[in-house]
Amino acid sequence: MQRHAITGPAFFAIGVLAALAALELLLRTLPVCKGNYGAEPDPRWPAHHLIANTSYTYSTGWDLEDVRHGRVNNLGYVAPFNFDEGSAGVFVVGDSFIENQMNDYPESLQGSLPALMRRRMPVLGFGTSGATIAHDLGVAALIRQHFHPTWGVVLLTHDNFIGGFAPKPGYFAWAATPSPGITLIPERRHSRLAEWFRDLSLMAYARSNLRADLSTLFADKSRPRPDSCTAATLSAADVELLRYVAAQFPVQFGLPPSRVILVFDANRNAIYDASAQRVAEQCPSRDALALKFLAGAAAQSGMNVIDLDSAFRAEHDKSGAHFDYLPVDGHWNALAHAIAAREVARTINDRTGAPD
Amino acid sequence: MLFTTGVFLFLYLPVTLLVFFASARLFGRSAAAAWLALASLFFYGYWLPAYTLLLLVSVAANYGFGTLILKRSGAARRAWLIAAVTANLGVLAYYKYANLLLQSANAVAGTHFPLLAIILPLGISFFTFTQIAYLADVYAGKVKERNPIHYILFVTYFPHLIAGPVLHHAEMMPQFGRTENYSPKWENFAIGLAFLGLGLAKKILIADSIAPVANAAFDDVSSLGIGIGHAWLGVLAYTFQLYFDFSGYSDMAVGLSLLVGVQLPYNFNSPYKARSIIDFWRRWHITLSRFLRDYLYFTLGGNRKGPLRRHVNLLLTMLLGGLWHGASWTFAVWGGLHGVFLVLNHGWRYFRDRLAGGASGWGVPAPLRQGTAGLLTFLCVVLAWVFFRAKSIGAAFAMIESMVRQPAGAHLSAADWQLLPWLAALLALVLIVPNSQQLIDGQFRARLPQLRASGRHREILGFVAGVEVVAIVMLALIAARRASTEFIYFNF
Repeated sequence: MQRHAITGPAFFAIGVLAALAALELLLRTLPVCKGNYGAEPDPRWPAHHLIANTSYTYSTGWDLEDVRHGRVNNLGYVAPFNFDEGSAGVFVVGDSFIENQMNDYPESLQGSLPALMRRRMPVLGFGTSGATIAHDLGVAALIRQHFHPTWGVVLLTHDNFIGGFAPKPGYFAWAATPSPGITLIPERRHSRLAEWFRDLSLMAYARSNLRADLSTLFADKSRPRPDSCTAATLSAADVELLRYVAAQFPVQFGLPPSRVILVFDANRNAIYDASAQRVAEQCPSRDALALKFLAGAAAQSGMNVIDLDSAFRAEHDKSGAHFDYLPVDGHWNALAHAIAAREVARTINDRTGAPD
Repeated sequence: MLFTTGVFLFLYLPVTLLVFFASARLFGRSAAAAWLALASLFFYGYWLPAYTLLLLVSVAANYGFGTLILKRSGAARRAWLIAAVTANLGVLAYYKYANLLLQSANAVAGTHFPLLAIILPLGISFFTFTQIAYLADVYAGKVKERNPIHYILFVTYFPHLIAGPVLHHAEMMPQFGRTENYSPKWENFAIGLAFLGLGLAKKILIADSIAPVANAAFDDVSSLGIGIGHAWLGVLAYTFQLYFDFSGYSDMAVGLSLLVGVQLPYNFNSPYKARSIIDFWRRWHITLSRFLRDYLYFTLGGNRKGPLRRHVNLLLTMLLGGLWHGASWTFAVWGGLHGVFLVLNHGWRYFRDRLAGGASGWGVPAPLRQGTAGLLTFLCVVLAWVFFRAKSIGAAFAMIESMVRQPAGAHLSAADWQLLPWLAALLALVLIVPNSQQLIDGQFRARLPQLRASGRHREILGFVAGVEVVAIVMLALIAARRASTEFIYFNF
C-alpha cells in the first residue's frame, strides 16, 4: 500500500525530469538566445557588460523568430570590431535599443552612422540591455576616462528615467545620497551553479526568448480595464534630478553641451493607434513627463535634442511603416535605426565646423 | 480568471484540487462538493466581484423556481415555468440586449435614448440557458436529483462556467454524487492534463498566433480597403483562429473537469471535416446545438407540423441561436445565414431522396463528390464567419466585396505570402489530423484496461502526467508574454 502511494509521485517526478532533459536536448539544436551573458566584475570597466570576445545568437518569441548572430568585442559590447582604449569618435550610449541584438550591426544607429557623416569618424556603441538614464550618465563618465569622445549621443527610450530607481547589480542607479546623483551597484560574481543554469538552453529560452518572469506569469489579464486613467505628475525631487541630468551629460562625457545629442524615442503606439495617442495625451506617465521635461532642460542647456516623433510620424504617414517588431518585440527595426541615424548625422553634419 | 494564466494554472488550480481531495478525505463528499462550488464562485468573482452576487441570485432563484414548479401541478406549474423563464430571459435581455434595442430604436425612429453603462457579466448566456433547460426538465418531470450543493456546483462549476460547454443537469449532477470522483486518480490526471495541454496548445500556439492576421484584415477592410488576397488571408485566419480558440477552450474545460473525475460532454468533432451544413452543426459547438434543438426547435414544434413549419422553425432557431452569441445584428445575420443553409441542405436531401429517387452521386466518383461537398460546406461556413467577426453589417459586406474584387495596387506583401504555407498547414491539420478526443480517447484511454492489467499503470500514468505538466508550464510561459489571451467565446 505504502509502495503504491509513492510510486505515482516518484514516476511523476521522473516524468518531469525526463521532459526537461528532452526539451533541453531539443533546444540545444535550435537557435535560442545564447552567448549574451554578463561578465564577471571588472574594476577597469565596472559597468555591466557582456563576456568579452564571444559570439551570441539572438532570436525572439516561442517560435524563434528573427534569428541573428553577432559578436561581443573586447570590452563586452556588441560590435564586430574591438574598442581601442584612447580612441576618439562618436560615442553612442543607451539601452537594449543600442545594444541592438535584434538587428544586424550594419543596420544599427551606430553601424549606419559612419557612412552618413560628412567627416568620417569611428562610431562606438555602448548599449546595455536594461540601462537607464542613471546608467547612461555613469557609462558616459567611464567613456571620458578611457576614450576621447568627439561627440556623445544618448538614446532615451520609455522607462529610462523611472528605471533608475530600481537598483540592479552592475548598473548605475539614482543615488539616495548625495541626491541628486548616481551610484554604481557593484556587479555580482556568478556562482558555478548560476553559470550552469545560465548555460542551459532551456533557461535561455525561458528567460530570453519567452522573457519569462514571475511578474508576467502571474499578471492579471482577465479583469476589465478601467475606462478612465490617471495622469501622473513630476515631484519636486524628480524635477531636481532631471535638471541634474541635463547639466551632467556634457560634464560626464567631458564635452561641451553642443557636442552632446540626446535622441528621444517616439511613443510609437501612439503613431499607429489614435486611441493610444489619446491615452498618451490625457494620461501621460511619470516617465513620459520626465523625458519631456529633460528634452526641454537639455535644449536650454545647449545640448542637441532630437525627438524622433516627427520623423517617425512622417514616415508612417507616407508609407504606413512600423518601426519595431511589435507585438512580439518593441525594439526598433532597421528602419527606425536608419531614421535615427539620419537625424543624428544631420545634427552632426550641421554642427561640424561650427564653433562649440 | 483565464485558463491560460499563471494565476489559474499554478495557484488557483493546485489549491482547489488539493483542498477538494483533502476535504473529501477528512470531511466527506458534501464538504468537498461545497468547496468546489465555493472555489468556482471565487473563480467567477475574480473577474468582477460584484457579479458573483448576480450569479448567486440567479442560482438561488432558479433552484427556488425549480422547487415551486416541482410542487405545483396543472396550470400553476405551467405559470411558474413561464414566470421563471421570463425572469431569466429578462435578466439576460437587460445585461445583454438592452443597448442593442436602444441603439436600434435610435437608428430606426430617430430617438436619442442614452445607452446604458453595462458591463456584460461573463458567461451570462451559458449560465442562463443551462438553468432554463433545468427548469424545463423539472417541468417535464425529468429531474431526478435535487441536491442543492450539486445544483450550485452544476451551474457554477468552474471548468464550464464562462464559455461552456452548455451542460445538461442529467449528465452532471449524478457525477457529483459518485464516491470515486472524490479521490485522486493518476489516470484522471494523465488524461485530464492531456486534454488541458492540447487545449492550451491550440489556443496559445495556433489561435493567438494567427489572431493578428485576422485582426489586421478586419480592422483595415473598412478604413483602408484591402485586396482579394489580403481579404481571404484574413477570413481564413479567422476561420482557424475561432476553431482553435473555442475548441482549445473546450478541451481545457474537459481536461480540468477530468482532474476531479467529472467527464464534460465534447463540444467539437472536427467541424471543418463536415460534408454538409447539417453535418457541420452536429460537429460545431455540439452542446449549444443540442440545447437549441431540444429546448427551442422542438418547443417550436420541430418537424411535427409539416415541411413549411419545419423550415420556419429551423430558421427561427438559427436566428435566435445567432443572437445568443451577442447583441449585434451581425450575429443575427450569421445565424440567419446558417438557417438558410440548413433549409437548402434539407431541400437538397429531399430532392435527392424523393425526386431523384435517392440517386447516389449520378455516376460522380465518391471522392470527388465528397470533396466537392466538403469544399462547398467549408466555403459556406467561411462566408458566414465574416458576419460573425465583422464589427458591423456594412463592414461584413465590405469584406465580402474585398474577397471577390481586387482594387488597383492592392497586392500581397512578402510577409503575407509567407503566411500561405501556414494556412495550408492549418487546413491540413483540421482536415486530416484526428481531433482531441480521437487522439486521447482512441490512443490513450482505450489502452487503460491493458495498462491496468499490466500492473504498471501508476508508474506509466505518473510519468505521463509529469511530462504533461512540463508541457503545460512551457505553454503558460509562452502565454504570459502575450498582451491578451482572452477567449473569443468569453464575450458570449
